[in-house]
Amino acid sequence: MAEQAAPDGLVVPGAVMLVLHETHTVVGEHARDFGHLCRDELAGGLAAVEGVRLLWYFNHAAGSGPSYNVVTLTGLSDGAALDRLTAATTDGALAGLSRRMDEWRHEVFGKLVEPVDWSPLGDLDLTSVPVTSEDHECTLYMQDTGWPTAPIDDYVAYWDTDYHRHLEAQPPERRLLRIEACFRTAWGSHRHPEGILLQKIGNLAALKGLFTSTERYDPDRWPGSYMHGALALRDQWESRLLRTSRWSPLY
Amino acid sequence: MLFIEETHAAIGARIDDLEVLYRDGWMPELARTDGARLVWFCHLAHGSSLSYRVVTLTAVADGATWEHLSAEVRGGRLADWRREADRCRHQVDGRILVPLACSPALDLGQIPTAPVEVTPVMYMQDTMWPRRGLADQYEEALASSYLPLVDHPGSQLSVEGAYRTAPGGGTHRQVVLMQRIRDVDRLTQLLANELPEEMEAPGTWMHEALTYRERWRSRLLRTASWSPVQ
Repeated sequence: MAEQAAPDGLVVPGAVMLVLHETHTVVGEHARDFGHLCRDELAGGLAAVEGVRLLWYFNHAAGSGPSYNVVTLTGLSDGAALDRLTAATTDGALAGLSRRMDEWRHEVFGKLVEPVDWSPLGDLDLTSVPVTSEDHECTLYMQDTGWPTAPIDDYVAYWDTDYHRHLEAQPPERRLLRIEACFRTAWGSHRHPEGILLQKIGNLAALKGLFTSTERYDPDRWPGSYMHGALALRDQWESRLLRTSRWSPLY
Repeated sequence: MLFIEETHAAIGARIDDLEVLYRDGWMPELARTDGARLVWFCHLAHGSSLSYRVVTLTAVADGATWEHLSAEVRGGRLADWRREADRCRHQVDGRILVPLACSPALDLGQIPTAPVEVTPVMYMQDTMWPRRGLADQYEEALASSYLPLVDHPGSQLSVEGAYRTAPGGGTHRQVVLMQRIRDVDRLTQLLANELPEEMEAPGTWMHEALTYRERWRSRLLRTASWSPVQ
């Protein structure tokens, strides 16, 4: 993988600069075929393109949203990697795989997103992401997509100071969520302003509590202070419960 | 009977006010109308979908009752209430639903008209889009295969309502199931784990139902503690 010069002059080998976020509406009868095809060929195929790695492969958790939906996140080192991926899927080495995936999905919706400056994913070296499919446990994520009425910079900064840092300060055994990545949409791609939190769920009992609680949030104590304060920035977001496959490179 | 399902995109800072308007306004006001009752007041479960969404289902005995109520909401005794509710929400999306023949019966006269605080429950509401031309067969399969499958005490779900969209009541033709979740711990396990392959094998409901539909959407709903039906 090519090394890239960071704006401050440091050389960052293979760090993630862009993420291709895709939602695949899969044909129900071929949902398992689609998953097997991606397991056997997608991660390896993408890795053959310089500066590209499949990061996560998720199924939208059954019972919580649309049927037969798959979400993939693919890391790209830079815009040139996007060019190479586009060429590979159009008439290059990945064109055949792309056609076979199309046979088993109704459509795919894609957007390009960028990690924000404090996103934990910003430290990820693409070359460290596994390419071969290793069987592991499934992990449940909560992906929150928010549409602020305030500038996106203010929204993601608030996420950092009033949400991310508080989550990190919680004892692991009590923590419902851990933020694995935070993105904003790239210029010209999909909706602006939009921010995305990719959060690993670490505690199913706490998730049950979140679903069933009728308690009003106390504005003077976190997380109530966050819930109340964030209303000045947005009140519209969508959560999606995503479960990694057993072979997802990251989980 | 008709069911008016409304999904309210509440203004975040005013969602509690919207709930109070329904509890102290809509529910008792409907009780003054023959043949109309608020049945469910639910929130989309936090962390599962869109923020600050409320789902209400109001039952009306027939089309004439709906017409009467519609006029009251537009410019009659419920107009002020509606204007105040509109100040608490960005928008509301409605569907008009008709119970399927297999839907459990609902006696409007038995539905509480004053709030009683109880422990809230959760529902999985599924909306299905049958394949073109196969809606009738899908509804028959629901009645003959799915409902008997879940109709036992050990089942994860209990079907409390089964509907289709009425003419003019939304996308034609959707099928909607209101399914009470009996055990939320089992729900979280369902979310976190892959469905075993044998549950989708030929002969199973998951496999056979693909003949009639493959597109559906689940929503996880939590009732308010005072919702007339839990």
